[in-house]
Amino acid sequence: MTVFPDDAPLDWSVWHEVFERHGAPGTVETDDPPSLGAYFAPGDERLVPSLVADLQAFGPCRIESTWVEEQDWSEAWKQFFRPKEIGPFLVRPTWEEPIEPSSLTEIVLDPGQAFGTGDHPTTQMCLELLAGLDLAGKSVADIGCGSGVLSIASARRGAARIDAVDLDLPAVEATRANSELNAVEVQAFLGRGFEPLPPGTYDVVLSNIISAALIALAPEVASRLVPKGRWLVSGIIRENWPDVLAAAEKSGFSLVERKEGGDWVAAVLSR
Amino acid sequence: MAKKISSVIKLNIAAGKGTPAPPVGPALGQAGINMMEFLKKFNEQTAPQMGFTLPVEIVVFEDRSYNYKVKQPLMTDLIKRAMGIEKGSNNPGKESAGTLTREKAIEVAKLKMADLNTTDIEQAIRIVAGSARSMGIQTDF
Repeated sequence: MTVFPDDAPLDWSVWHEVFERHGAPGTVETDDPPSLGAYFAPGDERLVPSLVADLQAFGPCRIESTWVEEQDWSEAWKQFFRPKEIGPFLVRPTWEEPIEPSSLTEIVLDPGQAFGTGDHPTTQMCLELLAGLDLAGKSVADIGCGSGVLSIASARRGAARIDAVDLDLPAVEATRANSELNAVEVQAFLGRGFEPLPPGTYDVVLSNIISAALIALAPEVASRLVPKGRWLVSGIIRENWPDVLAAAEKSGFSLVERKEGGDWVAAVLSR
Repeated sequence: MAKKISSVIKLNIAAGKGTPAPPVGPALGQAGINMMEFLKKFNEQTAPQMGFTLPVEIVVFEDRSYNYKVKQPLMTDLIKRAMGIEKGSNNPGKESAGTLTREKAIEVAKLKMADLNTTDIEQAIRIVAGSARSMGIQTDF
C-alpha cells in the first residue's frame, strides 16, 4: 500500500509510524512523486480502513494498493549475476549453463551469503592483479576469503597450497563448497587474520577486505611472507589508500603495482 | 569518471534486523543488488542502534554496484528518545502523549539537520515540532 500526500512532508517519520503501527516491518520512500509505501501480509486487510483513516488524518492524500506475489526475495538478484569475463578468468554462477569451448579459465561460483561474485570492482581488480602473479607451485594465504573466488583463481593459476580464512562462517562454508565445485583443493578455516593457520610462511598473501583490517594486518603479513613475497591488497576506498600504503611501508613493504576502479584501489606489494 | 546512477532506493527499516522480506526484498531484488551482502553489512553496522528505525539510502549504479548511507534514526524515534517515552498518542489531536520542550526539540533538530537538507536550525526545529504534534505531543514554544 502506498500513500501519495498532496503536500510532500519534510519529514516522513510520522507517516512511517502509522504503517508500522499497522504491522508493516518497514517502508519505502520515493521522491518523484513523493510517496511512502509498505507491504502487509495477507490477512492484514482488516487493518486497511483504520490505516487509511490514520493516513488521511495527516492531510489530503491519494492511497493506492496492489497485491504483490510472495517470492523468495533473497534469490531475486541472482537473475542479474551473469557469467563475467575478468582478465583471463570467466566467473560463472552455478545456475548458468557453461559456455564452451572457451579459452578462458572458468571459475564456478555460488556466492550464497558470502562476498565475492566477481561483480564488485574490488574483486575484479583482485582477479586481474592475481592473473599477473607467478603462482605456479606457490603457497597462498587468502585472508578474508568470502566466496573463495580468489582462492579458486589461485588454484587455477597453479598454486600448490592454498589456505583460506574468514571470520564469517557462511563465507568459510561457501569457500569449501565452491572449491569442491571447481575441483580444487583449498583449506578453509574460520578465524581472524592468520589465526588458526599453521605456523610458517607463504609466497603470496591475498586480502580483499577493508582498509582498517589491512592496516591492522600489515605487520602480521610481513612476518608470514617469504622474502620478496607478494601481498595483494584490495577493498580499499580511494581516500584510504595513502593510509594503507603508509602502514604497509612501515612494515617494510613497497608498491609493485596499483589499480584503480570506481572509488576503489587494489595493489600488489612486496617486501 | 563518475559511474551512472540507475536508481536511488530509500528505505526505513529496523536497525540490526534487516531481512529479505518486504520492503527490502522487492526493492533491492528489482535493482539487482546482492541483497544478502547488503543486509549483512547493514545489520552488522547498525546492531548498536537496535530498537530504532533507520532511514537508509541506497544508490545503485548501472553496473549494479551500490553505495549506501545510513541516516540518523527516524525523527519520531528521536523525539520519543528525547522525551523518554515509548510511543506517541494513540489518539493524536485528542489525547496528549506529553510535552516536548524547546531544548529537547533543539537536540533532535541538531541530530537530524543534515538529513533534512537544511542548515537553518530554526527551520529544523519547526519540522521537529510539527512531527511531534502529529504524534500527539504538545510543544511549549
